[in-house]
Amino acid sequence: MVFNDIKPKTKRELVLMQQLLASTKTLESARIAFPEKLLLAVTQEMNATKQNFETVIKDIKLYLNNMKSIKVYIAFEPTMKLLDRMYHAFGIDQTERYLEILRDESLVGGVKVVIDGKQYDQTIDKVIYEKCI
Amino acid sequence: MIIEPFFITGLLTVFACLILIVLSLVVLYFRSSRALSALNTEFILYKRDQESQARAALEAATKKAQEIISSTQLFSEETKKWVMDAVSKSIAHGSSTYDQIISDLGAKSIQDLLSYSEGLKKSIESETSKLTEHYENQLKIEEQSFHQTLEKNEEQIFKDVKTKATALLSEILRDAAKKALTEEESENLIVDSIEKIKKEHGFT
Repeated sequence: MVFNDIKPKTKRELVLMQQLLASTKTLESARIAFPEKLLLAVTQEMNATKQNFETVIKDIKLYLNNMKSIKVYIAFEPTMKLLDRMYHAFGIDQTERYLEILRDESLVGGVKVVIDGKQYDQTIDKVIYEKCI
Repeated sequence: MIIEPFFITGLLTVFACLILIVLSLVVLYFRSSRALSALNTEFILYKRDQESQARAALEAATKKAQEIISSTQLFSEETKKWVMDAVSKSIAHGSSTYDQIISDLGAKSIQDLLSYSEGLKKSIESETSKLTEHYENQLKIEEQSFHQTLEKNEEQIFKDVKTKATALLSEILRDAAKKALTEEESENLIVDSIEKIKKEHGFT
């Protein structure tokens, strides 16, 4: 089951969504607490599958739990604009992945990325090291 | 003229007293003389006894001195003999020549010690020369070994130097880059880096 409309882009968004889903028990309280996109996704799913609120919420939780992260190490806290740029640069719109932004002040410039346990280094440190050696 | 009988009696009495006194003095003299003679004899005997004891002690001491002298390593045989003779002579003459012996011995032993120290000096010089030669050789061997080790490890040394120089240069460049990059440039760098990683490794 895929919920592209409500897919979180970052870990922070994922965690917030999970907390919201955990604390909302009824459709009535969801109408108050949920963001518009999330509420719409829930109601659409309920109508499409003829399932009740609890079942749909359970499906969404499962979907969110199965998402995988891309760890990105940068030297400073990114702005929303930069986050968007990074998200699109990765091209993961159609994938079930989110960005986990981790701050590492020792980095001078560029990024370090960890995907499925593999590390990719595109920092200035690496460039300097390669040039010097 | 009639001599008074009392006068004669008195005179006789005086004579008698005088004789008695003389007699007693003579007796006293003989008795004293005898006592003195006995004392003298006793003294002579005592003296003889003491002398024989002293002689015995001296002989024992001489024997002991001779044992010590003969066992000492410091003096030559000639010096030892001279000392023994001197000690024996002093005993024979019955006079104390200890100071004289020591004085003479001092002069004689200094010669011995000088010759001893000369010999020792030569021995030390010889040993020192041997040791010096030995250490010089050791030093040469160590030096050769060091040069060989140095040549072998030259490559490693250069590598270590290069690594450290690189680390230092890297540090300088990092600091320079940190200061030089603007916020916009940093953001662009991040996005460019992500695109490069995606292109090189391709992930979904």
